[in-house]
Amino acid sequence: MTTLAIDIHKSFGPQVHIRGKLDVPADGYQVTALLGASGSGKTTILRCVAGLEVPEQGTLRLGEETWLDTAAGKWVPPQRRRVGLVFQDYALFPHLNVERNIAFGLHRLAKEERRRRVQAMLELFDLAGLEDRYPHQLSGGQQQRVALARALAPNPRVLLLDEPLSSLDAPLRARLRREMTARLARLQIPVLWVTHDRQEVLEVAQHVAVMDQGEVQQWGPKDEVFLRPANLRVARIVGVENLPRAEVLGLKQDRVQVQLGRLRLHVPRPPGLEASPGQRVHLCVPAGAVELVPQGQSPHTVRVLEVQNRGPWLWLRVELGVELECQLPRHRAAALSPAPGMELGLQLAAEQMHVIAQE
Amino acid sequence: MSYVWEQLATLDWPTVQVTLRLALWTTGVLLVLGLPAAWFLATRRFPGKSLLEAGIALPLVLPPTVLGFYLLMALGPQSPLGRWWEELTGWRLPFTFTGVVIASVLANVPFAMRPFMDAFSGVDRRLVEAARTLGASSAGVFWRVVLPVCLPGILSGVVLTFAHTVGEFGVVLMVGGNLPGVTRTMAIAIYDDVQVLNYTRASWTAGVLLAFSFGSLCVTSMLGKSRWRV
Repeated sequence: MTTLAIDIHKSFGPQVHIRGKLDVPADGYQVTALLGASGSGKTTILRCVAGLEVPEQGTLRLGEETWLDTAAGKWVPPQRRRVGLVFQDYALFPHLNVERNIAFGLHRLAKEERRRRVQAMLELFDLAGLEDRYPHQLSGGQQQRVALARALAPNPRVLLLDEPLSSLDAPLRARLRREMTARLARLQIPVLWVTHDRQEVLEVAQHVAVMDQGEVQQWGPKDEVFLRPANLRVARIVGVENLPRAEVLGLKQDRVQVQLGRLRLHVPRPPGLEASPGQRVHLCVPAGAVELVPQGQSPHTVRVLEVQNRGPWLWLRVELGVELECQLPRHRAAALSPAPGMELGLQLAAEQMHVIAQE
Repeated sequence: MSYVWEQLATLDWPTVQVTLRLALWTTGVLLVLGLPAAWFLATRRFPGKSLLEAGIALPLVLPPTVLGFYLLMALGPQSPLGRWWEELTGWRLPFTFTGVVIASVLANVPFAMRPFMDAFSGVDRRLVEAARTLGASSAGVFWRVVLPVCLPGILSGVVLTFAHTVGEFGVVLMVGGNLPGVTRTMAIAIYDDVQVLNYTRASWTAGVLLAFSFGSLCVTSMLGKSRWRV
């Protein structure tokens, strides 16, 4: 199994430090998302991988090949790494037409081979007929496709995408996301995808690394990170709706008994969690783990505090000693017709919850 | 029409020739030396850079006679530089065509360097970075991306320098004197003609310079608009 092993430290002045340690699976088509708010350092990690920034310390390896090893004084310049990079606003060469933009990275190939590769890219990215256009004569979506075709034409070993969809309109973005991943899957290329949009991560990625304040907080398979965040910061970034405090009552082999408001729950025990009774922890309660039912159908009751109409969903804030947010699909909401002040039954899916030790 | 040709034929043609030769030399030297220097200034940071940039802009505001005076002193046989040149070549720089070229190059530094530097520093850094990830070496990036993207700016620097040298007066007069066929330029010839009340020829020479200058500015303005858009 090939991996792109990243372990770097890059600083900008004495105040700003970017630290990134993660393994990016690099066999065939797999998307690893680098998720974080703007300014969290994810673009810096990407630029270090491309060779456009030089970290002060660390190592970068793709399979057997070393791109950076500061201890050994080794650094491979970007032009010899064979990575494809797509910038946020594409950075197409304004003086070259579509065909020559795509052919830019192929100048060492024989003319016939070069033409064949450009042709293949034009077809794959549905750009036939636009060969002679210049970048300023293209729509945003077309520019994005040209940028991808240009980056992929030289057969890079890994593709780096820096917020590749963020300069497009929202409806277009959703469609292009699907088209783009379908094309990348056909090329069987590993992708490192920088984004601040967790919805995008859920749709495209198999693996994710979460960045905050210049540091990779957690990385791993998407489900692992989204369902079992390592700390509160990761939980907030991946969008866990409820992070109430709870009190540990007891520990078993694979269970933790906790007191959540008026409720006692047995939730899965994360590997390595040590906690003594009485200790306070945070509980990850995804909105999807909270189910509201008519009163009497459950031994637990909650009081509705707030109701918001959000189109196909009804959003609710309820109280059971602590406050929780949850959602009801429209057809269920009609039967319950919840309103502030009302009491409802509660079912919690303890299996979907996760304990985070307090920092 | 034939009247125009008759009048143009009365122009001082050796002077026109000197003027064009001077403009070509000045432009050529500034292109060869100025482009790498502008690239360096536009891409590097170093202490004293703003002082150097102010120095480059100095000929824009300095009276040409002041610049000419200092050059005359610096190039003359009293100065170490002048003496060194005289020992090396056996002849002096003041009142020669070579001396005038040196003076004119210095006087025109801002007209070439400013557009070059603006063009280079206007290059989107990400274009350079994209080219590098696509396998281009530093030289490849310069020839295949930076230069073509900057071409309109470089051309406008060339046209400005050429046009400004054609109209050079003060610096050339101070360093080169007024030797027909050697250092007398068209702008100096106008002054001479007016001194001897030859208003007809002065007005034709002036008209030619006016038309030429206006045409040059039209070209640079067109180049400015043809900058690549994204």
